[in-house]
Amino acid sequence: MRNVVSFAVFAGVVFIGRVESHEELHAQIERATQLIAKSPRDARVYQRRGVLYGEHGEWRRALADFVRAASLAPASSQVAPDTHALRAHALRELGHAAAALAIVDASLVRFPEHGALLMERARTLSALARHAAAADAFARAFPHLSTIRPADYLARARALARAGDLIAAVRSLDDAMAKSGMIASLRDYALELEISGARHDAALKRIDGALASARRKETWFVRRGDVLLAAGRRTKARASYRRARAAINALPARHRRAPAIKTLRQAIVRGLRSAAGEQLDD
Amino acid sequence: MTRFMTVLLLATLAGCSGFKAPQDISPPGPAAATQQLVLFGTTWKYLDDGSDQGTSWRDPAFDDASWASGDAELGYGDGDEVTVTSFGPDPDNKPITTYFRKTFQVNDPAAITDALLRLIADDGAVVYLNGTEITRDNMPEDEVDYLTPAIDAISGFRESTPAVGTFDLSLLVAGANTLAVEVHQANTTSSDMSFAAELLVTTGAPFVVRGPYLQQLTTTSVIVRWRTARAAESRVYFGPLPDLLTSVAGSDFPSMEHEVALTGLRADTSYTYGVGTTVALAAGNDADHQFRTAPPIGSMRNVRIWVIGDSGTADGNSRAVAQGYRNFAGDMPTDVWLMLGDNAYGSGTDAQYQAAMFDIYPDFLRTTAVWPTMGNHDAISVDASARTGPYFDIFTLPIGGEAGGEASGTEAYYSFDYGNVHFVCLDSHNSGRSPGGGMFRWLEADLADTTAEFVIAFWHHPPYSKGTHDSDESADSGGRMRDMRQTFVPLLESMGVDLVLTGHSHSYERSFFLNGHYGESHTLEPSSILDGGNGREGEDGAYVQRQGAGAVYAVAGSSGRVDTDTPLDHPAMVVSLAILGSMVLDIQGTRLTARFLDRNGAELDSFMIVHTN
Repeated sequence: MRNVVSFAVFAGVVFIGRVESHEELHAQIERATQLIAKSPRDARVYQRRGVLYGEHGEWRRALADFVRAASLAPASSQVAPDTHALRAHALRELGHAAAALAIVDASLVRFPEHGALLMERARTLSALARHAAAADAFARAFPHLSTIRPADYLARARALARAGDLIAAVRSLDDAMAKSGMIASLRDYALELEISGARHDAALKRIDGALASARRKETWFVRRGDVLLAAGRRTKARASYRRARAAINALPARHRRAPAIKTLRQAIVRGLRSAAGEQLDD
Repeated sequence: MTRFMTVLLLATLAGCSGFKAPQDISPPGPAAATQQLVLFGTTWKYLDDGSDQGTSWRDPAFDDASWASGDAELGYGDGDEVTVTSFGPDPDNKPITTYFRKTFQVNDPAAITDALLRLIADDGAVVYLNGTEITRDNMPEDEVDYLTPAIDAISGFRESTPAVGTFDLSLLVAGANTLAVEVHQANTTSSDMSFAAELLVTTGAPFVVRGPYLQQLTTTSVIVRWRTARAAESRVYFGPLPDLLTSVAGSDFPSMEHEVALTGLRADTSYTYGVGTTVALAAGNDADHQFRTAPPIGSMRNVRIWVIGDSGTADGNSRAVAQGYRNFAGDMPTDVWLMLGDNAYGSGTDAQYQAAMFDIYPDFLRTTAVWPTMGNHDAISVDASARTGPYFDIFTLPIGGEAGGEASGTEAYYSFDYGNVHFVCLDSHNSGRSPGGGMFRWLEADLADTTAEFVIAFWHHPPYSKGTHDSDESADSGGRMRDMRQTFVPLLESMGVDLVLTGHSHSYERSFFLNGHYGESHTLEPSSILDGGNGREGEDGAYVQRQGAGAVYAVAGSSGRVDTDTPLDHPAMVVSLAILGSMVLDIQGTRLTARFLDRNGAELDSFMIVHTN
């Protein structure tokens, strides 16, 4: 029958990303305040208002509500770990990542498999620039999430890369793509990491894979040229840049005129100029 | 996407080659006879004296001879009641509970395969069949008595939208059966009370209570979805014409949420379909259940697109806007249907989607795939991290590039191709909006790979608006309008987007032909206005895409409500209107014509974008 919108709907879910329209947000905060007046011992209504404050960027007020919610939530209830995750998030937003980590770690003792807590721990470690630990934390959190978003995979790979382990970062992206398919954002970040690590052959292999399925190839040929040039394979780099130029010339006028294509043309010119030197290894 | 029913045991017996089935498909006959055991306007016995009737009144044997009787709808306060009931002498102290009873006959209960109860009860109700509770609506879960108030006072669409459900069929008996209903007010000062109910039974396929509706239509496939009140296997019968349903696809997994992919279809081809079980059709196989597959990618065939934004009011406004479009379109089919977010007020629950989308646009949903983006109200019932909630349950959106474009890995943002148009849906609400984030990287890759003549992007939060929301205010909407303008608009413009459609502000605001305006409204430079005309042929002239970098930005968030007390004075706008309406786009080769229609279908604005060689 009809669903009744009540705070019960929100219990047990961390809704950091939820936002109402601007004036409605104020109204919702007001309504939450009224509910708090009605049920001043209900942790969920404080949690709800805290989320709304967070949506509005009022993290100090949000934190105050999460602290209050945490004090009211029975320690064993589902509300408790959500509240602790939210509290840690607010602290992190306020620049107190170390305090956030302490809260998360304490709560994880009781709720060691709570996905939101585990993810908050990973994000907090990232904020603390403890990248290796963050990467481990992401890996620990993922099995406890119902859905892993591309952004989550990227965050783990970024943590690994910042920890200096490019190979592991790339492997994590490959693992993600093996599970979830060839997601464009993951594919491109993996390539970016290969290039940043001067792993030219691996980068070329990825580019060739992308080229095989691309409907438009000019960007990939330029990237290929860049990698070949970085690898000192100038003749092949020149050929790739030329193929990029040919691909652009074959585009309908509508696409050829796009600013991104003009930028690409400039990259081709630069690449060809750089590759014009004496042949080294081809 | 419905994760709860991972269906799609594809059993397309047509061999994926048009209608030549390898074996003779004999679709089942039409749905078996449906019988109305209780009609909405039927006569009920009722007791409106505010007395405590305890529990005995629920029993079939209870003697209600002393009760009054009257035709539904019964109640008071709305003015549309057929039978006005009493609330006693004190309007500030009305009875909480009014009782209703109805006896009806069933001849052969063993033959009944499904039953459907449709209930209008303002504010709440508990329903008993032959003395056993079968459902309650807007009532607490605990034991109720005559002083128990409904959970909340309902208003708006909830007053007129029937709640729908089924029950244990074994409760039906041969001969006389009794429905007993207690309707509760939320408080003693409530201005209105309403009650009516309908009881249907069938001996065929389970009743369809949602849909059917189409998702993810491509050149060769479509997903058909529907909901039944009772779990059953899923079958979609399809073919070239009604009564020529020569192919079938489906799943044997019993479910109430049915999701069946039809694959191997011919491009740009019309199909008729019906949904049901292995033994019976529940809906369709008629001229109202048809779809046309997308034309081949790159085809220059004309494309008609309908665009609604902030349409989720579930009221006369959204109905009128839909009717206005019908008036305008006539018999011309809609190829693509975009929803710009806030599709179901106030919080995007399943029930609100039922009222705001399924009950308002059933004809469009049966024939045109809808492609939505998430608004802030839809997001209230969504878990952003898990990508779960009604929005994700109701819609089946591409995550792996199934409909063209690059795989995004998420239903939150995606792209699809239709003919010579590439559509990009962004999530301005929940997904990260930073450069280098997942959505940004995906968009960059997606746009770099499109070969379509036109690129149309849509999301909820407008980059430019002085309507309900002010895009200059960085605190408004959590900075989402600013983020989309500063981060995504430059990328889109550099990659050649033609048109950006958004909602959020409950108005229609349409820009000049712009490029390079990423700041607040007062920073708009003349150089960012590539064409300062109105874009109309015969007047200032169409916008000509010469540099590959111009785009029109339209806020089309008035398909359900308008806010009239807003300035609507963004300097980038050619036209700003606080008028209910929707947008229609027609793409013919290298020409895109856009119109804003009011609730009557009258054209209040138009512009054209032309690509030149």
